[in-house]
Amino acid sequence: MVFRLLCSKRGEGNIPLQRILSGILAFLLAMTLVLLTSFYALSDLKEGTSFERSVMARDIATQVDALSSMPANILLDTETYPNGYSFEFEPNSVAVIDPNDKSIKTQQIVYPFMQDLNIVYQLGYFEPFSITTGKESKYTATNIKMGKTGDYFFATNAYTPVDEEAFSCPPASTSLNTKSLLIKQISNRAALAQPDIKNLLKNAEIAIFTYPEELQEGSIVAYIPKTALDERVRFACLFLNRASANFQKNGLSLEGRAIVPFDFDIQATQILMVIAIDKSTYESSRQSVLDAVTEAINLYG
Amino acid sequence: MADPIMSKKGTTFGAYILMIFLTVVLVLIPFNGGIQVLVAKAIAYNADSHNLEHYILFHRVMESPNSIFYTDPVLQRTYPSRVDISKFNEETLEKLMDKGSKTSISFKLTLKTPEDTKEIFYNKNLYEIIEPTHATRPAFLSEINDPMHYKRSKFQLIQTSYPVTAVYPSGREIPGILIVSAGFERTA
Repeated sequence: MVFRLLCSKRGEGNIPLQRILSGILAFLLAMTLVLLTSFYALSDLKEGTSFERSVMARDIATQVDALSSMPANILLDTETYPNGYSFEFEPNSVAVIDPNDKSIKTQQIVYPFMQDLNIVYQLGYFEPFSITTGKESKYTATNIKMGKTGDYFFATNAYTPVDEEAFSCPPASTSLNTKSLLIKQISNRAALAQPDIKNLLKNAEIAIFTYPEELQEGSIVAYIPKTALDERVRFACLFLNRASANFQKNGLSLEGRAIVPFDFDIQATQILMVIAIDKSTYESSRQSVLDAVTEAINLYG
Repeated sequence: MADPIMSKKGTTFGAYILMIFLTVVLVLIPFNGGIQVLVAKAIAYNADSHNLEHYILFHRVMESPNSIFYTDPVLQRTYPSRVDISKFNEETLEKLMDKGSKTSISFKLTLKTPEDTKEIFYNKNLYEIIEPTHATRPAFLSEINDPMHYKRSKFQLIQTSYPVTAVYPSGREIPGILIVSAGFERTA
């Protein structure tokens, strides 16, 4: 019966039926291709990381926007991203990059934020370390820490300081050319009860004093106790670097700076730093110096 | 003229090629494209954070020390209920929100005092597009009852008004009303 449907009495092919079968065959072929494409697309969606990275990019951009808007100094907890992604901060946008995603379209997911032009942004590029074992590459987690102190925003990771130069001590570039007034001030013990800034630095109390001194014009000197630990020196370096940035931002010029270990002749139970500012610029630059101290305290945390 | 589809003996190999070609063009490519568009839309829709972003930027104008409000020079404290007239200008807003960003946002700030009414804009062109067609959201995110309603509309406006004191550089203080309208365009 079937044979008769396909063949005419003469044994020739039944042309209309062949046409129908050809159509069905073509349709089945097309459906197979469609299904394969769908499975491929869904499999790509399942295994792809675009959605995850899109959420991350939005989350980070929102945090930057929020921090920029806050009328306070804030340090967020370090955020750990264990997926091996890289994070590239540009002015007004953040990109989350998956090195394993070979598609040009989705390799990096970019999302915008909005900078406040009154704020100095310390942004950067954060990538995980890759470890290759055989043919397989594995990536370490990426840590990002964000915060804002005064008009200074920073994004950093747990391994490097805010910027490579932030903790590096510049060579002393000013000298004490007169007898330091500091000695007289310190001899007045009562003055130590009234620091300009009193705060906590890694759970230790820190007291900061400022006073005008006969220095080279535009210079500041950070006096720290002779018995200071390396950590205190490090803090003083961070302060001087922040002061340099603050002076520049406020249109001032920091011509010279130095860290001077000093015998305070007192048993300082707290972390102590006395900052001498050039007499001629004391009034105009004191606020920048205090801001730099606040920033350094927050960054050091 | 030779029929490309039918030979004398029936369907040719060329016909199959043509059928597959048409299937690919008419079915496969649109279907594939459709799936990709749906996936992209689904990702953008589910990861949508525009509401929150807009509120954060709205509150930047309302609370940031770099905004139009008075900051005590000694205490360095900003008072959101005191408008510093010397800062009430478009330059302040343009410094507060970088126009280089791709975030679509616009503001209209109106300060009404018994003596004067002052209006300043940020991204005025966008604001004038948004204002006639907007859906108004409440001034606080927590007051939104139906988030889906706002997800559907492209242009949205957040408005608030409250009494303030206008502080002049001379130290003179005048009571007034500050009206803040923020217009947003939902992007991808």
